[in-house]
Amino acid sequence: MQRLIDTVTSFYGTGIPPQRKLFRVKSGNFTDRLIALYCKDANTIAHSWSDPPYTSWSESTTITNTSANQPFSAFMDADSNLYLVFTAQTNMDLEFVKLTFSAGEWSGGSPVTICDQQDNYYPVIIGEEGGKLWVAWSYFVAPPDASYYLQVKSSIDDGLTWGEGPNDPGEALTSGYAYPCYGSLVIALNKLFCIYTYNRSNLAYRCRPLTGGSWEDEVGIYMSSYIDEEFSSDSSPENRVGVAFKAPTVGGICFKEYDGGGWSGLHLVEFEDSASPSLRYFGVTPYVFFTKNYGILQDRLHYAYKSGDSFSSSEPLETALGLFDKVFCYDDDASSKYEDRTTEAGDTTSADVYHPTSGALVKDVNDTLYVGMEEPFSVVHAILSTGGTVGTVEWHYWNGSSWKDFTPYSGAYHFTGNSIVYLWEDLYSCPSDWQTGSVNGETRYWVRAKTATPFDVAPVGSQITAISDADYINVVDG
Amino acid sequence: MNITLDYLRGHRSWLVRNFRVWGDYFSVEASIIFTESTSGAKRILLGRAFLGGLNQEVTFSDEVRCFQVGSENSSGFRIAKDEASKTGLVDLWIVEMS
Repeated sequence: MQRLIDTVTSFYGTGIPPQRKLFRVKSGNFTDRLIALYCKDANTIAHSWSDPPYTSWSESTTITNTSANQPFSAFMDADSNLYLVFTAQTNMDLEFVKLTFSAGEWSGGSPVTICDQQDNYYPVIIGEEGGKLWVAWSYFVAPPDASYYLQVKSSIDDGLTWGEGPNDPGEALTSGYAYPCYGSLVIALNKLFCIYTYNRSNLAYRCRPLTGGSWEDEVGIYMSSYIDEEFSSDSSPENRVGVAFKAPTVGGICFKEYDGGGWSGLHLVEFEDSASPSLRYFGVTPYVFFTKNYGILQDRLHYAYKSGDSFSSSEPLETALGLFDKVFCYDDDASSKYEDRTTEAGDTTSADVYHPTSGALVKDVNDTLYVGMEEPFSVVHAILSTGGTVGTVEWHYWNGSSWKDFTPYSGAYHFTGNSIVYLWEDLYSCPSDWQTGSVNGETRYWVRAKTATPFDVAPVGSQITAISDADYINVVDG
Repeated sequence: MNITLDYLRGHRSWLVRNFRVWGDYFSVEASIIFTESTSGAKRILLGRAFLGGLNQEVTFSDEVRCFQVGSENSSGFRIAKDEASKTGLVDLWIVEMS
């Protein structure tokens, strides 16, 4: 099931794949409390928390309103304290703030500047068992250099001071490149691993012993055009380091794993158009979550896990947010009133979702689009080849005895253009009296859009699904 | 509602004989946050799902046939079966609360 936590106006929302935004309290009176961190607006980072079964979330609490409209990252320690790193607005300094956990609440301290040199982006943070904090980020040096470097820096006093102070840019792990570097930090095998991409195409890592010493030389993991921020790493209880990444040269999502002796071969997780990989080990099993594209702005959550020597076929995370089981176009004037357009509604072929008599999705009064599933759903995503004009439709669901009218949660929609129509707030908010019913001999949970006012230009559909536009996946830590 | 007080007053525990288990140990419940883009504001959502194997859900109302009635005392307790059950054969599990 899916639950709406908040609506935001920031660019990144839940941020880029190497970063972490969702955490679980692992012990104490508040065990299993989840806290979600996200960019609320262009300058605000906020959090919201919830207890099982996670259907009710706290009002958002502002952590800082001095952030740039850039993604940030966090780390939770064993006491459930949170450590955030973010880019400051205007001066693009790298900032840190600790949220202390007490009596079930997180409260923020004063921000500390990690680096006030040049411009700083895409930070990640991790803590060693002894409390030492590490941050890695993309460091842009202004022209004439005009290059991005992947920097690292540490703190041994709980984030009060970093390295030699704010004017210390830390240590560069890469050379300078024209495109941003993206990093992630993982602890395994008694080493700190910094896994990163640079120059858009190189995925590599460097590591250093937790006992101290210098960073070992870079080791390449993979090369593919445009990997950029499309990768995610994690470590397993067996001390393996995994990396899932989007490799456009392959076409989908890939996975590689390091066991201390060497890297595995390349595992293909998903070969179709996919993005936003997020890797987590559950026990010793690596799970890769990602979005799979089904059409224009239709990116659906999928996952796959390693089973034996290969990955399982990917499965949708939520069956109710997919292709409709049945789509009927009803023309009140036609001799054959119901036209089954289920296949056409699911594929991306243009201008093929219509009733053959009217040549339209809906046209005259009482013409109706029916969409049905075996379980309640919350989205109707309409991709049209022709947008309708003048006409209006009324939306109904079947309550067991009659068609009950409603206005979609996202507002009135009359097939004027492409739109994601949120019928209700989320899947938890489906009407309690919504029941299955029979339409043209098919029993489903039905929603219909019935023409109330005829269209001058009648809409024609290309794709009608229940798939929204998902991105920036974060899977709970631990 | 005081959940903790209800729990302490509950005192009910049960076992069911010959209960067939087919759920997979490696089935996990994942929690995910993600961003949905719309034409207006973006939406932050939590997704939860059981993944990676056969997940066996047990509904209490389906499986409970015998149960303790009221509170136990120092010498024993009352037990009953529901009306639909013809037999009341169960395994007994005694839990010392304090």
